[in-house]
Amino acid sequence: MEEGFPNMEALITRLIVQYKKDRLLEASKKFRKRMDEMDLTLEDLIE
Amino acid sequence: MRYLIDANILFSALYDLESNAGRLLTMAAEDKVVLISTQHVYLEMERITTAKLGFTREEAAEILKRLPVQWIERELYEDELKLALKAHPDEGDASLLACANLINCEIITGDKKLLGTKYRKVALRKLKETLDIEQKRK
Repeated sequence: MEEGFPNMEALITRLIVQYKKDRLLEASKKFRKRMDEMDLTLEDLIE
Repeated sequence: MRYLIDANILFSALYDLESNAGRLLTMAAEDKVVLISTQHVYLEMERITTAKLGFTREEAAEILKRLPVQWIERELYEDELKLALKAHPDEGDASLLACANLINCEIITGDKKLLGTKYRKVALRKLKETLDIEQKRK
């Protein structure tokens, strides 16, 4: 078994969590990049 | 613990994952909390990301589906929404009030108007308070 994981289920759970965090990070980067390109602030979006 | 969240929290998290809102969404990705929102909030976010940020609907959907949020379909809270709208005129906010009452779930928001709204026994909480509570729960 992979070092640090007591069983396969724990390993899969860890991989799924990391996948969800990576997806969130990707979305945030894309969103932030477009806001910077358009010189918008959060207040411009949520007024 | 599960929480209903509004568009402001979600936009704040997308803008800065290191912010308090970002921390909350990261906790959801780690299955430490469950975040829920409504179809109204989804559509509001889709409208803003397309109209103000110039994303196509497909691009907006790609961003929104990466959020660790469970979206509740309008038909599930439609009847309650009519009542919630009498307490709060904004449809997006009223949709959260309606769902909060139906599923007995707190709302997290930074919107002062929403925070001041009384609707049935719905509890509304500021983001910082929620993070403090979750910190103590650890």
